[in-house]
Amino acid sequence: MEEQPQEINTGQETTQTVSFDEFQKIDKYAIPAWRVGGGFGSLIWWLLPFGISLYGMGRDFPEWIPFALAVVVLINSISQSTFLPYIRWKHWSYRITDDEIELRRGIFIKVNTLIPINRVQHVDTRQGPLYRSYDLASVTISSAATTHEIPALSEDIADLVREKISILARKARQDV
Amino acid sequence: MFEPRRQHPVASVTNVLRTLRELLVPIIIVLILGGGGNSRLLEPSTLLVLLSVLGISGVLGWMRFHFWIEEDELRITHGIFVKKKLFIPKERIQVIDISSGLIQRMFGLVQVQVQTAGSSSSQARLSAVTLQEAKELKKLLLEDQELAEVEETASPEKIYALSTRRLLIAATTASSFGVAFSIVGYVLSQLDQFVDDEMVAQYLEGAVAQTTAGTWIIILVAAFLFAWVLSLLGTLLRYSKFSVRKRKDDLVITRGLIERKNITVPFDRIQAVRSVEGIFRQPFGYAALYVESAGYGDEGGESTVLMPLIKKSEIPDILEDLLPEFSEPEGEVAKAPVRSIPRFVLRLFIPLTIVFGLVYLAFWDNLTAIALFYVPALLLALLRYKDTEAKTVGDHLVLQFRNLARTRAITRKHRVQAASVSANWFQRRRKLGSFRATVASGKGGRTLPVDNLEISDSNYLLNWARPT
Repeated sequence: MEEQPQEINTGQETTQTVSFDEFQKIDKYAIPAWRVGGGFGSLIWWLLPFGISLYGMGRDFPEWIPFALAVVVLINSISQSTFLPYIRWKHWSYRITDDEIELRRGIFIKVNTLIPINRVQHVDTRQGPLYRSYDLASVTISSAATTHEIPALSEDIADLVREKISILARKARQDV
Repeated sequence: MFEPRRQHPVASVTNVLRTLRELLVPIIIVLILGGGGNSRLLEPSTLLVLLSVLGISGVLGWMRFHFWIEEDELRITHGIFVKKKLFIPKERIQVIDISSGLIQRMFGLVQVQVQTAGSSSSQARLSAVTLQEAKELKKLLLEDQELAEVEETASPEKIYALSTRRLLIAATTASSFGVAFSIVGYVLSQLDQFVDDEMVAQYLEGAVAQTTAGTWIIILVAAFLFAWVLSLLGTLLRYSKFSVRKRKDDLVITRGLIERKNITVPFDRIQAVRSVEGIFRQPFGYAALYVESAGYGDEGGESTVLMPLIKKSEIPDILEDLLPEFSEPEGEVAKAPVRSIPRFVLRLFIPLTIVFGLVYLAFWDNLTAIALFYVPALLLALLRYKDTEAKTVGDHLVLQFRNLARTRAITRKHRVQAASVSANWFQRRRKLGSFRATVASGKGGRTLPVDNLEISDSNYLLNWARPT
């Protein structure tokens, strides 16, 4: 199971034969990308303990509150930049059959989402600066009511997935 | 067939009013930030300039606005500085709504709204035309409209109206407390614009010392009453003269006392039906009935009210008649198992404990009073457990759940836009799962959640949602 993403990434010729009928993992480079993104993203939370201790200065305010918050925020920062991305990656998988898209994800809360393919209105791939530096892209699937994302696929796979879904969606809508 | 023409001059007035309404929030914000009553915005000269600018732009807007029908298109040109063109091909027009606000009615005019298909519906609005013009437009743009009109008169029994008695019950049991409370809160927060801090401080020093629990309860009750009166009046205005008519392809809902609203909901856009039993309504066997329709929200993409108040026992009949596609079939029901009760209880107790933990630390250390809040929470948790149910019959999906009010939703398989099963660590340990189905509603979606079913039942529901 864990070798699969590498297999897909190694050669251009294998991408032609990828079958999305079985559950696929997202790209392994998701882990370093998420470590960087999550690590920097978690810095925003540091405003909280610092802000509170600034507020508490010279006031009758229990010191342990910002301290306890700082500990929580520190734990968050460390786990976001070390093991959490790995676990999140491990639990992410998706599958695209002729009739539906299925997404499985979640560490503490496991979620299994089903999107019937004839409900899909449009698909696009997105790439921010962080994903670009790792040659990753995410695929966004929109229906009339919802938007779903498959994060961190390699650029080739992302394009393939987008093409596949849009072709299937067009076909499925014609069948209805 | 229809030469380029202007709207009735009254349109310039309604334009100004609409602009003012859109500017209301920014104006309020400017007033607050600008130091309340001392703002220069309130000086007569500034006001005069602003109003005349608005007035001139209203008149110019009216002068530059032309509409006509050409090559089977409704064509509109408008815009004061930049001329904008809006061409709507006849076949793309789904609905033409004719309504009339207070101003329109004073001059015997109507407003025409043209809606096109698609979730990102572009709209054309003629804000003041004569009824005759409106009817002519409708006739030219919707050919089968006449047919529907004839059918209406042929079967007048298909009109459901809200009796005055029901309207009053709806108004008194309306639980739009949330909205009302935020209004009250807003008014209170504005009070300190008029009262300066020292006065308050002096008053509080004198008063707080003597304030007993009794006074607080009186204040609370007064706030409740005020909020209730507000929501009562709001409901009365909204749902006066409410009626639903069934036509060939759509439902037409008419409502409103000051502003008459005409909402057309095509049958093929309806995604789900929901009955909501508010906590004040359920004991008397009443509920409100809503339809979720894609692209057509009541106001800004909300659900549309099909019946503001209805006896729960009457729902099957009205659905059978108005929306047979969504009438509920008999079938076996899946419920939350007994071992899920702790989940429902904890779901409420954990946030409650966090909130009261902070409250306790911060200022209020009356433990017995705090403990009292857990009683209604426990009750609500048990009700949620009892009310959670789901069933599928053929391609019908029926989900029932409770936040505060109890909701029962009926939808069809081909209306489900996405479905999911989720289970957190605690749920997995007890083999429970939560199922969610999302249907399109207005411009977005509405998620229908049933929590803590047997994991096998949740997965069954998910598999049911598969197209194959």
